Amino acid sequence: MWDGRESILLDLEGDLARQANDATLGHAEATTGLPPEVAQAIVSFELPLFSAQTKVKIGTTLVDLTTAVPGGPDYLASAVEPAFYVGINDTFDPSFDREAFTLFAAWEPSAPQSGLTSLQKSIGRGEHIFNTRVFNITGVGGLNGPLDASQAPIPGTCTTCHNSPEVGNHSSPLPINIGVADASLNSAAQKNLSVRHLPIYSFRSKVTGQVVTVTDPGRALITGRFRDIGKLKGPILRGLAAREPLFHNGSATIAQAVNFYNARFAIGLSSQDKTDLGNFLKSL
Amino acid sequence: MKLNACVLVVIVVCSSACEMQGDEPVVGELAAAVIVDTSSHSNGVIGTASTTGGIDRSAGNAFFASLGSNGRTCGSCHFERAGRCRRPTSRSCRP
Repeated sequence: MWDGRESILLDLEGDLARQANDATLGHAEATTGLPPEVAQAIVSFELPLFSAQTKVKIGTTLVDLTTAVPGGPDYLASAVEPAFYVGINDTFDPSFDREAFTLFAAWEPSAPQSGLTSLQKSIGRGEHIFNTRVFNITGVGGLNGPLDASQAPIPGTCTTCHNSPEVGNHSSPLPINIGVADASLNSAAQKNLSVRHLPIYSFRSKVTGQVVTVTDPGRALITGRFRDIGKLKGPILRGLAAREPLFHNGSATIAQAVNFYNARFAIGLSSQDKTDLGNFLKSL
Repeated sequence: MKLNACVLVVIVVCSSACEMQGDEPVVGELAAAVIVDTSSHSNGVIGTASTTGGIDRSAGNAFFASLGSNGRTCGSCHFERAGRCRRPTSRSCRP
């Protein structure tokens, strides 16, 4: 769940079993909980499955992602998952490697470009931008937001938050508020995402009197804390192109998401950069 | 095409294992994954791989069984074509 309500134990199988049980009681409207063996059967079905793009379609052109590069779900299952552990490539560890994605290294600008199609080059440039374009991360609740201990800007990249190698979620629990739910006038969300139809909630801090308006309380629904308003988990990015619209509220196409980030963090992406980033994200 | 992808996986995994252990390749200890499903969508094709073989889509699989009172299953909302993720705009899946 986007607000982290099912990620309690930091025990993947236990959390998935609880999620299966809660979904059965809620969405499926069961009157009693699942027997433990049934919940476990669902978990056992889920864990061996891996999903990723195998071909990306840009315009009328279809690009294979599994022949010359290690895209696709079988590589994810065979090589990426066995190497994963909670906290891998921790952003705040000295060993952090900002180049969290290497799937399309053979198409990146530093690789020989002869023989590559324009779309392969674009996807490679997009991966390079995702890994290396530095911008100031500011005002992100849970990271360096106004209600957190540190308010200093963090010079970072997309992979500062999307740090799990070849997967793109955050590798350890980090609910953050990047502003997707920000309902204030002229916010990056209001200007770039399809959120005008969403309800708006206003919250006032009992301590400071500060008022915030959001389209989703986020993790505050679980904790009841003012500082958790608007905080959400960062999703896995593999298979992203198959599940538009994006974000927890379905407010963006991939292009809109790129525009949102560009505005929110003043990244300064050119039109070509946006196209390249979009093509990369569609290829995951 | 598929063969090439498999070869690439083995090479990468083998290389990594050798570096870590400085010993014989340990490819046999890693899970072998095969793509068991592909689905087309507007941005291309998404594939699902499994390390345990094919997908049992019958109601004998609890994921596809109606376990509550309204007929919904896990698979009613976690679509294969969306990588088993739940799309927030899927009308049939709204609470």
